[in-house]
Amino acid sequence: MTGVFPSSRGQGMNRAVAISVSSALTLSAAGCSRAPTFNILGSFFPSWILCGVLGILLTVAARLLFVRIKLEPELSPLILVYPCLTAFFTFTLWLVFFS
Amino acid sequence: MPDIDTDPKRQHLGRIVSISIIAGALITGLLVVGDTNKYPRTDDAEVFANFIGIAPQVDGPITQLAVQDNAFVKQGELLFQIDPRPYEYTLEKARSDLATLEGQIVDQRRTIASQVSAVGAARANTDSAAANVDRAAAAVNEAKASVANTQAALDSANAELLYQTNNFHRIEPLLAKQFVTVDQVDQVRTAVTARQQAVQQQRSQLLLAEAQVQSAQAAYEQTKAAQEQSHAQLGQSQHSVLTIDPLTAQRAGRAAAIRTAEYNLNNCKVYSPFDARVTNLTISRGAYAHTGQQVFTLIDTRVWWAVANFRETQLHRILPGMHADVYVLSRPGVKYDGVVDSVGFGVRPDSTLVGTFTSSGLPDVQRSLNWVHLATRFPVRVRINAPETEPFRLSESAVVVIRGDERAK
Repeated sequence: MTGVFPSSRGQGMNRAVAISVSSALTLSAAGCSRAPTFNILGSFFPSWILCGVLGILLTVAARLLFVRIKLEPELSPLILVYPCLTAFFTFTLWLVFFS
Repeated sequence: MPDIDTDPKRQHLGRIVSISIIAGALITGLLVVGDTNKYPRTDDAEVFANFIGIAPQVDGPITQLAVQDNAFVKQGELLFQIDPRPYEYTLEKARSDLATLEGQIVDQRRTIASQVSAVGAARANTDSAAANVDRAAAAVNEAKASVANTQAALDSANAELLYQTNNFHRIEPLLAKQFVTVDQVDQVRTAVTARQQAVQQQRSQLLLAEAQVQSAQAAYEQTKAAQEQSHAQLGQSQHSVLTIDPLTAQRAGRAAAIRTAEYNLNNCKVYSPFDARVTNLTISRGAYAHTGQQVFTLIDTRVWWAVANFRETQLHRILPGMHADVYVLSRPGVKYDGVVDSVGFGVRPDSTLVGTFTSSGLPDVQRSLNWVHLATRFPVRVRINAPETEPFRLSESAVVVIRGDERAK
């Protein structure tokens, strides 16, 4: 483990965030005019449930990433960080796609 | 891995990431709250249109049913027809009633004319009676003059009798001394007797003349009575002249009966009052339609609304005239522009109402109480700006997002 690796990883992560944010902005700018409700076999689910599920999945992915870059031990308190990360993803997705 | 654990740079990075994650969650959470406050939204909404139950205004069997269930009808299009024959007959009867009345009026006019003529005759009778009265009065005067005349003749006869009697008394003593002959005395006696007869006759004449006066008086009274009778008859005939008003006053009523019959006849055909969709049509030709009883339903397709229930805490942000995005869930990819028409002013959220009185006459107040109250929701009518060709359906699920005054694209 060298000191370069995390920093290069950090730059990669920043680039990934930048790409995802820009694509999200593009999507929202494109005017996603869709009903904020999803029909699943005749039941209408509100958009925030979908965002919440996606947020959990993204948090799981983020945790895998943190473990891989061995950043997780530095995060604290974990019981607050991961729920907040889930909430952050959920809110962001909602703001980008359904606001 | 003590080197990593003790790496201050990594510790620093971990702290930054932790803090930024928590801060990001807080910031985005606040943004979400702000956004939902600024643009209230609800998925408790339904597409709505006004609808009416179409009902005939006359009774009868439906002879023609021109529409089918779920069909689209334009304003003024024929919906169904009720058997018009009874109403045609009623109209004919009403017309004939009016014609009868007109005939009665003509007849009555003739009767009145004849009664007016009778009044003229009665008036002539009174004139004639007046003339009779005058004549009888003249006869009375004439009889009275005749009485005076007879009286004068009686006086003259009495004077003659007195003269002859005196003459006789003068002559009779002269017979003893033979100054006059017996014949002369007899002559004078006869003259006295004749004068006495003449006086008797004149008395009788006077009685007769007086009787004639009374008779003329009685005739006068009779003619007076006849005059009064003729006056009374004139009054009677004048009062017995009929008036035409009771018949002419019926004209308006008969004409109204005709118009009512025409109205009912026209109502045998029922037309669509607006552009509409036929719904709940479950009958066939031949069904008996009752007045005021709905046959099927028409949905007014000219204006569609989304009726969205918003929490009472959001209502102050929703004003009539604001624009809104309306999504209809049968076509989730299409966004419609809507305008808030009005906000509801009353709902009945719970079965137990404040101030409800039970059968015992006392307010119904429960002991149990919810610690957490749910916000009451009120219906907001959002008019959907869409062409009439859009296939909306009543009670479709919808989502409404209020966009404030900004024009939705």
